[in-house]
Amino acid sequence: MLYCGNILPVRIDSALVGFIFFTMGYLFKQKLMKMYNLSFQCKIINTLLFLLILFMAAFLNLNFEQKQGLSINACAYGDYPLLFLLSGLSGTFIVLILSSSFKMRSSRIKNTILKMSNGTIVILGFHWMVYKLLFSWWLDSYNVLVSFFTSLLNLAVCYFIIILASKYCPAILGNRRIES
Amino acid sequence: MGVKDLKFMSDITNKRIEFMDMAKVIMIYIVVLGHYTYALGLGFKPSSVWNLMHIITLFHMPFFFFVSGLFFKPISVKENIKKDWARLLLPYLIMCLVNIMVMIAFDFITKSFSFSKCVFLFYCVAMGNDVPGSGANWFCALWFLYALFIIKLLACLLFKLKNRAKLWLGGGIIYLYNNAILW
Repeated sequence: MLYCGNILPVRIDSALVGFIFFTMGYLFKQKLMKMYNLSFQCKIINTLLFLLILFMAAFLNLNFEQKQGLSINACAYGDYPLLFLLSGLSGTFIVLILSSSFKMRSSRIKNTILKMSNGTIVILGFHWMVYKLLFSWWLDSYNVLVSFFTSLLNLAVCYFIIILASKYCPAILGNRRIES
Repeated sequence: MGVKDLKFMSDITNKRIEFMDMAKVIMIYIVVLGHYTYALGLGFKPSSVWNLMHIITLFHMPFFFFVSGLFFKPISVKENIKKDWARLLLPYLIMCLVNIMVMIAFDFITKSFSFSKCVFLFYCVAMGNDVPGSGANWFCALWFLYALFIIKLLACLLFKLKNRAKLWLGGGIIYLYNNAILW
């Protein structure tokens, strides 16, 4: 597998690659908003299509036998960097299409989702700490279901950190309001 | 535009916000899931959980860069720096500091504290975790905020020239390719 390594300092390498996805989001803004109006069948077909693209790109570009995966953080893009772009976009569209299919009726769930959405920055900053302090000293399971459940618990703990941060240190949230 | 049309537009806008919120929550869960093996320090062995991590890392951060681009509005560089200082850099610094304090306390408890490690942690903060060996830091995921600050600064400089945005997209892809070929 090809590993690019860091050539430029202070995250400029990662920023330049992230800039590609950022620009794609900026350019596709108007077209993406039409996605909400697609029929449910169209959404399913599109999701399956992007899933197929994601897995094909992953299997062609990823080496599952190595610990080092592909990521912007590690500046590792695989043997075919354009496939990395394709897999990044496919995964993005899958999540966007799936989430546009949900219809939340409960206002309590909507509020929780809103708080977590505005507090993603806090989850990003503290989830690793929650893993280390609460789970790493006793959990070493390779079970996928355990990983799903542990991550869910982690998210629940981070939710309370978001609530505390909004009350006592809103600067951590970037002064984002978490209430509607 | 009649009353019904205005209500329809308002409904669509509200629904869009909900759907983007849902997408962000799903994705941040995937980010947390994707860090499961790394944060727990699990040794690598070919298994379904490691395969899942590998697939997740393909798209978890590209999604957030994409969504940041979706909501981006070009403003002047000075305004952008002022806005992003509060929205990105200040939270980055505060959260890094909190993480460092907890890490130091943890090291004291486990009797593995060293001053050089402390200095290294602050160096990682200054460099946006772009330092070999920074992958084990508890705040390593915050590189995203640092990188996003740089990206938005670049975007404010470039996107005001509408046609050039596409040019720079092409330039970015070329950089990605050259970056890979150089090695």
